[in-house]
Amino acid sequence: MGFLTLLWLIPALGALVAALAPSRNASRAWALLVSGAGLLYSAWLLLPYGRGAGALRLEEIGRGSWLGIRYRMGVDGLSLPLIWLSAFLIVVALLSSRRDFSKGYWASFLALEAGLFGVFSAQNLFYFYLFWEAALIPMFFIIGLWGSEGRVAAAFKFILYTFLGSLALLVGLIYLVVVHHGATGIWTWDIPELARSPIAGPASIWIFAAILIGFAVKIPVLPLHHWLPDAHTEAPAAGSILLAGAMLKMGVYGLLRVLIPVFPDLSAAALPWLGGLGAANVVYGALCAMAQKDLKRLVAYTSISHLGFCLVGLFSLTSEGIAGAALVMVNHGLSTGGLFLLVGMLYDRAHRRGVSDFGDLASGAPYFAFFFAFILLSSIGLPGLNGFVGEMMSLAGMARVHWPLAAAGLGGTVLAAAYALPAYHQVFWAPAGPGSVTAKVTDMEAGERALLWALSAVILFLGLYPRPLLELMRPAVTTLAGRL
Amino acid sequence: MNALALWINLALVAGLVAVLSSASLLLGPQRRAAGAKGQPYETGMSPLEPAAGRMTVSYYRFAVLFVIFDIDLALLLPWVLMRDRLSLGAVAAFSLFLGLVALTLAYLWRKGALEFS
Amino acid sequence: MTSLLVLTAGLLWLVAMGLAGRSGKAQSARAVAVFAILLATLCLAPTGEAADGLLRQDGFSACWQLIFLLAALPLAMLMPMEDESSAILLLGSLAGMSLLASANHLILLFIGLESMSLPGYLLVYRLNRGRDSLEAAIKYFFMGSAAAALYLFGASLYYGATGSLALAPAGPSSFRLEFSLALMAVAALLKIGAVPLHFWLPDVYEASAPELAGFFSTAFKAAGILFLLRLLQLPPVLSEGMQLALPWISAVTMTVGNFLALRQSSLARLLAYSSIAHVGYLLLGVWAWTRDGRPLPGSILLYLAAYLFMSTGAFAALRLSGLKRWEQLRGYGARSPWLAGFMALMLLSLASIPPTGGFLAKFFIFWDALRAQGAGWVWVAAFNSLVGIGYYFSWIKAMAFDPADEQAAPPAPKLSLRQQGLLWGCAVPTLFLGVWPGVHTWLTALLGAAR
Repeated sequence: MGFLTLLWLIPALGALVAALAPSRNASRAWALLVSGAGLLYSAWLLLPYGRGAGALRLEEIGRGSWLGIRYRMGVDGLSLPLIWLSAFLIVVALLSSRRDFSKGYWASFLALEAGLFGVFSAQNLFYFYLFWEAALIPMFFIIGLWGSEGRVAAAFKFILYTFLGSLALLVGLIYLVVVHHGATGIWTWDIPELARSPIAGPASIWIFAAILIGFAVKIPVLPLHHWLPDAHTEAPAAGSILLAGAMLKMGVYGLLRVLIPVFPDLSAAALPWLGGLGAANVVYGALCAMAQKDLKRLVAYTSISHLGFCLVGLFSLTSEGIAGAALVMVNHGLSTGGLFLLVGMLYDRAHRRGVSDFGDLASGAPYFAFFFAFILLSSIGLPGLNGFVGEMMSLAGMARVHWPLAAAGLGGTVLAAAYALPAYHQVFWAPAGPGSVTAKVTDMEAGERALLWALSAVILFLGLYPRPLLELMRPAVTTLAGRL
Repeated sequence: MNALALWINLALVAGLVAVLSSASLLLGPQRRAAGAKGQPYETGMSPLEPAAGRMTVSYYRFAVLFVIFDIDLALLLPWVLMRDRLSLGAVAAFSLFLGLVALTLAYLWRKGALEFS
Repeated sequence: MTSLLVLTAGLLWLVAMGLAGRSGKAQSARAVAVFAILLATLCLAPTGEAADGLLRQDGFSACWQLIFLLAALPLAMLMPMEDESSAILLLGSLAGMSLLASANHLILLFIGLESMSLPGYLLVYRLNRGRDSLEAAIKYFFMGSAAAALYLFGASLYYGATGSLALAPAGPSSFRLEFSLALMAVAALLKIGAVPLHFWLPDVYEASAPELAGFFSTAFKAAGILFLLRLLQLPPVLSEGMQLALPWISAVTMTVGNFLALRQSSLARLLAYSSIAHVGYLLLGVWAWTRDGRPLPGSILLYLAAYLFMSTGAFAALRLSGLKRWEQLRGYGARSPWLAGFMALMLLSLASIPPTGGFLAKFFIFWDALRAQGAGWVWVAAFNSLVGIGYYFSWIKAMAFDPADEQAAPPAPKLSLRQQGLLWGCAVPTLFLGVWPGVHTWLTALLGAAR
């Protein structure tokens, strides 16, 4: 059994054990242990890349092959950061969860981790889809069982929307393989093989559209985004962290790994449309965020806005843009994950999330004020923190091919300040209103502070010195951009 | 094209059902029989109740048993007539069949199916 | 053939037991039935032609017989038994199916079909006595008789047109021949409950004991599909006509089944409509096969096998939990977590979520249909799967998320070891069929054995 099988198998089996554990505490301890091991393991996988290793480093191919379906896993510079990000966020999410959650809670997160690892390391479309779906079910239960008041409706909306995307993806992928077989006479589900001989003809447009819809629901791209605000708002804090931090990335990663390599020509042809959708995402998400009165919903809308940058960068189809998009994925995971973490901590204390429920928090809870400011600034792209680099690279990539779209995206960064700062002002500085719950908010405990220090350290490091990450991604990005 | 024929056929199936179920209404003599002519048996006896009335369910059990043995007999008759020219295998086969029928009858008897109650 | 003899021997043994009239018959009758089924399973093999070519036992037959026997096992284990008569009916039905699978002649096909169905009608009332089940049994009987009449009429016309009743490609096409084949195909569609010939099905499934409904939905449907496939192997005429008609029938069947399932409040009825929808997907696979003329792919068999485990499991869970109506589901996950978890797994499989057999089965059906240039029909099926998510996940939602309603639901059952074994016997294959994609290739090879 190879390294990459262990990567997803450990959390998968871990989930089983956590579900069967004798008590809640044992289940929690076990889940922390397994997710901690996952974090160390993913960091260990990253290590060789620090020394500038080649493109697709680790690969593992199973023995059996049936009509092109074979077990093939592989990681490169694009997937490893996301694997590490998922592992990191799982640890953060579990550490920040209350201790009294039931066994199913801990097991669900481990199952989710297995799905995420699988998606980010599958090189065969069949297994890619298998893990893709396997990641959905735990999230359905996380939202529906442990979320807030509107959880059931939100979980249902989540599953229906994501399933719409999944089915489009499934049909698209099978059709792709069938058409590829018709053209070449070879049955293959391997992504590299399919990318080597791109298909053409009238059917390819349909396939492109179907696969695009499959990924777009997940990202989410504008007309298909409706599930996101509800799901993020109603999920428990840990669920929101992973939903925004890791699961949305599955969609972007799909575009990067499957859609663009397999359909280089169609992607180029669709550039203005998809880049335009990305810019629309940026602006629309920011405008919606400005109108929100609920902190969690606000953060949810900022996700739509930030993932717009990913699209803008990706569909510039330049190496800067693609690298920028890949960077945005990681950074957005860190900063939005951090924001959800903070909002969750506030909610745990005050049981409110409204912006106007708070006021003058800074005087009573200075740590909250500090970390909130720090992560919020990273999220809206303050130079020096991590958000800035990726967004600028994405926009720079787009500016080279289609400057009006880049300009629109740039407008989005200005809007980001317009939604983030007033909300921050209200919560932390403005005098507390009559119904305020500020008094209930005690400042952070040592454990919580440690968690946020760790997160902030990563954010600061990637903001000041993104080079190792960029170096890590470079070979894969160059290969991808070179093929276009 | 043959596919067209299939559709025609399916339409015919539907049509056939409609025709068969309405045929007696359309084709049958519209008699307005009265008096003795309208009676089912020309014996002069008036029926005690309508012919379509209910009968006790035990009657059907015997009716089914009757049909079974009726058919049994119909199968037995040619076998008896051909007895000179049959091979041993055919005799064995039919004995097996008769044995099964006898066994079933014994089972039913045992279960009380032959008691009219 | 050996397995057919084993089943008949078991049948005779049970009759002898009834004649001897010993006490404690119910338990020993169950034991005999289970033993006969297991032994018959061990005797399955493609042995070739027998009885002057009237019977032909190929890989195709053996695979389907395996499905029949596996479907009968949970019924034999779960059904209430007063004496040996229910076991006799079950074995009789199984022997009929076995014969149906190896028949190589239209009359034997008919005998198999009828001796499969008649005990079924009786079991509907016998296992669950009441007004509803009596009505359902009679309704089922009349529908079955209508199918039989259509089939016999078709078969006699076929004999008139070709002068033969053998299951072999006939001579040149003629109107009479096509007409006879159309009649027989309609009979097959009625047996599997394809829309618009489905209306009897929900009533029967709802009124039957759940374990019997499970048997109907798996074994009887598999038999109906087999019947249809055998007919499609007759002359090329029917295949060509069917190529036009089948996708429409399939699309209408799955759409009607799914949309009506959305609105059910009786759980058995919901599963009945869901089974109609699954017949729709199966027919899509049958269509794909008629289109490209390859030997029968494993997809249809895989679908039936996956459906066997998930439908049996779902109905068995209904039987063991005693749940009947939607309201009783609320909060069931908290009351009986293991049974609810098992039910959720079966529902996920029915909804075709990986990694379950239901997913892989639908995956290969989609694949076949796309190979047969049926992208439009696949989109219809994909849309239907989304509709299916609606009710399967509502069910899971009701069990897992809704607050418990103590009065409404029956108490959590205490499962015996045998019952637990049965549930594991459904859950493990359901998962296994979902994680090993090679099963399709393997089944295709199995079907081709001793052809």
